[in-house]
Amino acid sequence: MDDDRISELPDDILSYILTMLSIKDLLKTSVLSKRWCKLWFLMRDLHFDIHNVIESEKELLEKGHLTDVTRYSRTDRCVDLDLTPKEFVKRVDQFLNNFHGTSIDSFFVNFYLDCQQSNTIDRWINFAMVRGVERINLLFLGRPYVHRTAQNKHYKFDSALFSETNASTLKHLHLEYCLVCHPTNGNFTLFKNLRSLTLRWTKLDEMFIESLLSNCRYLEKLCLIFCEFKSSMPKIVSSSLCHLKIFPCYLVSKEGYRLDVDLVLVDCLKLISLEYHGYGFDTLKLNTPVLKNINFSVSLEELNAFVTLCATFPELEIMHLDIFLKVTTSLKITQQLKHLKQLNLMICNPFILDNEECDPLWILNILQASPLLQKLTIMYTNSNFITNQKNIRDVEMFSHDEVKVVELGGCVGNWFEIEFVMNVLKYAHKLEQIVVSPYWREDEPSDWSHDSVWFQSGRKRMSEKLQEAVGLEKLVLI
Amino acid sequence: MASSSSNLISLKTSDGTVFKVERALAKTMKTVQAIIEEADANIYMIPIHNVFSHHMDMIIDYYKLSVAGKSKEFSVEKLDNDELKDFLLAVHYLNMEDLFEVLTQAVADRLEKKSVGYVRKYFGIENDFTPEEYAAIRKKNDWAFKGDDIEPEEDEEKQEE
Repeated sequence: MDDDRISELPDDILSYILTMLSIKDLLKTSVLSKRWCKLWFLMRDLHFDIHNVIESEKELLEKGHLTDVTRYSRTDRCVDLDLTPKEFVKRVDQFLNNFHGTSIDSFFVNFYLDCQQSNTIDRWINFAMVRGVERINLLFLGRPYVHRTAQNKHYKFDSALFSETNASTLKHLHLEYCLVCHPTNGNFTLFKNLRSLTLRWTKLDEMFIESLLSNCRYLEKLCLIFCEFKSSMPKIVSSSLCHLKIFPCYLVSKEGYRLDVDLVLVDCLKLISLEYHGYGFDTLKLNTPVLKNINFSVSLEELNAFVTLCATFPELEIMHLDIFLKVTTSLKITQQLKHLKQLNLMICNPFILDNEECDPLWILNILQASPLLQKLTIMYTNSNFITNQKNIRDVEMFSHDEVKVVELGGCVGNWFEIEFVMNVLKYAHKLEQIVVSPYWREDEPSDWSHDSVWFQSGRKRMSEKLQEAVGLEKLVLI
Repeated sequence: MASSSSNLISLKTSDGTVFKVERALAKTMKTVQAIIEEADANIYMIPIHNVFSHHMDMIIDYYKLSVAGKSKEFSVEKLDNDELKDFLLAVHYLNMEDLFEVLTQAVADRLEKKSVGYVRKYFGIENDFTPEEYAAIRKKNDWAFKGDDIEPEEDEEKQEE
């Protein structure tokens, strides 16, 4: 036949197209002709998850691989653990056994697997290592159809198994829902060229991280997310690390209780960004002279101490804060953030601010402490409309000569929101725009929420109260 | 005529048509961008090989939609495989990332969930395996060949030659 037009495309384009197919469709193309069969082996990224190995969500439900399980009045969509893991493993095994490609870039698995499939998983990792893989993701929680199990059933990642050759091509490793053990031979060869490591819901000894940091001369990024350590948070000491992200980690006491472990030391001369959501701010030591971007959770009482600490970072440009309001007090900021260009505040339960002693204009204090600030974003989360609304005050002693854009999210029309907007409009001389919207969300993957009171009455209330305001043309009300 | 100081760039397609496009659109074509940057003097007219005027029409359509935030409305459904392949080659030559992604996905969508027989007939791919080789490959990943995939029509009259 002379109509084979699609096949006239060059190999690299065709094999790129193949990466967009499910594994099943991909395998079917392998029998089209000898050339198509070879194309399959040109694939460099082998990614396996429930949808591309088994079926789409609709088909999974129809065939019984997925069921809706209701427990304690909550319905979750779960994978059938009798059928599905076996089928998943069988198909991936078959695929890999027949894959004749000699070199791959990435190997990703996102599916619930545990120690029962240990030998298989070890084999898969070996398969990838032998082919010079650079990125490995082993996400065994099985999102979005999460299945949780006792920790002693988790897959145990022992790097010693894969350290046979001297060279290691592995640059990026992401493990989720595993146990990571110290290499049994003390050999860190596998990690020698590591650039990034992400551990999520993983149990390990903090010594492993500390040894890793001293053995990996090129490590640039480290993420420890909801990890369980033995007795403390590892000390983060590295001459190459640029990005550090830590979400609340813990240890389990002898009695079986979960206790927080706090970050105590970060000694990284090259660190550019630091994200920490945890406690122990008062005992934290930071030696991070080139820090540009910081993202922390602090309570309102800690705010001045936090700003004082940040004032010691001469390159700090972007700050993101999740602020928890426990005690409401008037707030003075004593130090300046000389280089800060962008500030994002996430304020949880702001209606607590409605208290005699509290001065909600503390936000203006931070603004004043950041003379070069260009952009300010504030998001109120879980806000409520307060019944006794106070009067709006003109702060009078405020001025800012740089800030250009201000965004206020999660609004419901409370008096302190209106007060803030009025004062910013009046006293931020270079302001180009202030956007006020009811939408908020906790973090990137979540959906946006909003309180309907904004569209019912809050928006109108703000609009009326600001009728006479100076600079009204810069206000955008969503 | 185009000079490096104006906002329009002249592109001449393989069939001799000259298109004056916005600099921003020309920037999405990495091949063209490289030519502009390498030239010492002002570029008068840039010839684009392998790209025909009907391709440029579609490229401009896509650009207008994506600037308006409506890139999802762009569709190549009306193109047959021949035309889609030629368009894909043109976009590949021009090195336009986003549009390349859209077109490769369009080809992938045409292959999705179809049976082997359907794909072979639809794209006219010749089977150069011996019956034994063919059976052996199918056996190796047998699960992929089971199930309800879309089969080619048996009716001879509907076959495309």
